[in-house]
Amino acid sequence: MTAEKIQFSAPGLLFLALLVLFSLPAPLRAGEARVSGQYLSGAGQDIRLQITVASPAPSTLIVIQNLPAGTVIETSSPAFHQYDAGKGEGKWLLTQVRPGRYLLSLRLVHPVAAGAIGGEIRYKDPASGRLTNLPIRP
Amino acid sequence: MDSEKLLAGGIPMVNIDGARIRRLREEKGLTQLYVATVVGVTTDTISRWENRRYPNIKKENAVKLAEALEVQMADIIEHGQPVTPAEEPASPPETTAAEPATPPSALPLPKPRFASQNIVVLGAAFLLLSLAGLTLIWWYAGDSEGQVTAFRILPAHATPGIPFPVLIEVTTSASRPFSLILKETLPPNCIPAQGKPQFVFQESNPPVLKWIGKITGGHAVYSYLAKLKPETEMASIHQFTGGVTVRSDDNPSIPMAGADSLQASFFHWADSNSDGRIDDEELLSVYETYGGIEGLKFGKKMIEEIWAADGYRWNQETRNYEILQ
Repeated sequence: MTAEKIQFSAPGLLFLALLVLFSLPAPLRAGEARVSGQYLSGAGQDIRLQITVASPAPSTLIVIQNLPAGTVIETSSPAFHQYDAGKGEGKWLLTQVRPGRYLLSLRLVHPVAAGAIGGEIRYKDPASGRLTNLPIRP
Repeated sequence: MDSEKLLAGGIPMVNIDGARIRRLREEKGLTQLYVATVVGVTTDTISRWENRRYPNIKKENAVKLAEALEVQMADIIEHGQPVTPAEEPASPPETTAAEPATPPSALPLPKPRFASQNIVVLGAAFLLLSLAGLTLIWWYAGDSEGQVTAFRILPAHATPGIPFPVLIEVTTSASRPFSLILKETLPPNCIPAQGKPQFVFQESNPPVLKWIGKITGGHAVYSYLAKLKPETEMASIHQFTGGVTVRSDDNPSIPMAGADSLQASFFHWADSNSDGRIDDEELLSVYETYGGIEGLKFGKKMIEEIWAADGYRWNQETRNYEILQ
């Protein structure tokens, strides 16, 4: 065996040491839930709303859609859990939420003008239990 | 090229001129046995050195060989020839036996290049050992069960005959898994139903539920459904007690903290403010608390129906809730 054959690679060993260092378990920190909403289409006959959920995700979201009073809905995907046509307020209930993107859409019988609608996301932060109301504007 | 090289462990090696050694030995009338005795190797080794062109041997042996031949070491070393590194290590086992390892103190210091590499290797080894030590300390520090707590989450009220969920969270500062016995004593007029995980039911008065489990990751959740007997008087208060035992031989049961009483009521258990409807916050609270327990059937459908409606009321005759649209 030659001297060279038993040489350890110094960078390799340092890399190994760093790997071990960063592999040690770190204490988990409870973070605030991160949820956001954005209208992909906020006027006309087709309303599309995208909800983005990052980790840690709340288990349940209530998404409230405010439309002009008396608005008639042709279709809703997913179906509204509540809709009060007189107030123009509809609610989606999203359960077993996981981090990711959710697309909610509505087709209205008559188009609505830009700025005539708005929304809100309600959820409880899984770490603090605090109720959060997050407004969404087109 | 240098004629001196290092073997594994920093042993200096030199190439010698086999033909010159034979010639010198024969000129001086020395036998291979004599030379072998002076050097401390076998005659076979001396013969092999002489018959190979440029054998590679330990510098220490070269010094002794030069002494035996009564010449300077420089006279027997081959200068300018490529080293044949495998020559001495590839020798038969007899060579190893015949050339005992030289004590490290007799060796020359390694060249600076190797010294710096050794420092890096030693430093890395020290770092790894330190990390291993810290890991062991971290591991054994959590050997005991640490601070164990059990916390019960229970609705403030429930309607007799309608199942309500109960959650028991066990937490510990210990990092290692350990076994525990969780004991929950229900009010006398309370009937247990589904358990997640499944409990052992002691059908006594009052009824007792037990879980024997292992806690890992510092946190475990035990849940069950129960209901007050239909004939339970409204507004009556019902007490729950319980505790967790860890290593029952050593420790007494640790009493359960959190909610411990429930009132019989016309209002649904999810309607926490008893206003006759389930609002957004109540719905979210229920789902955030109980929704993560897979398979626990706490009546989601009814809760969602009430939430989506204007309200509800209890019908004592049908023993069910009426949804108000």
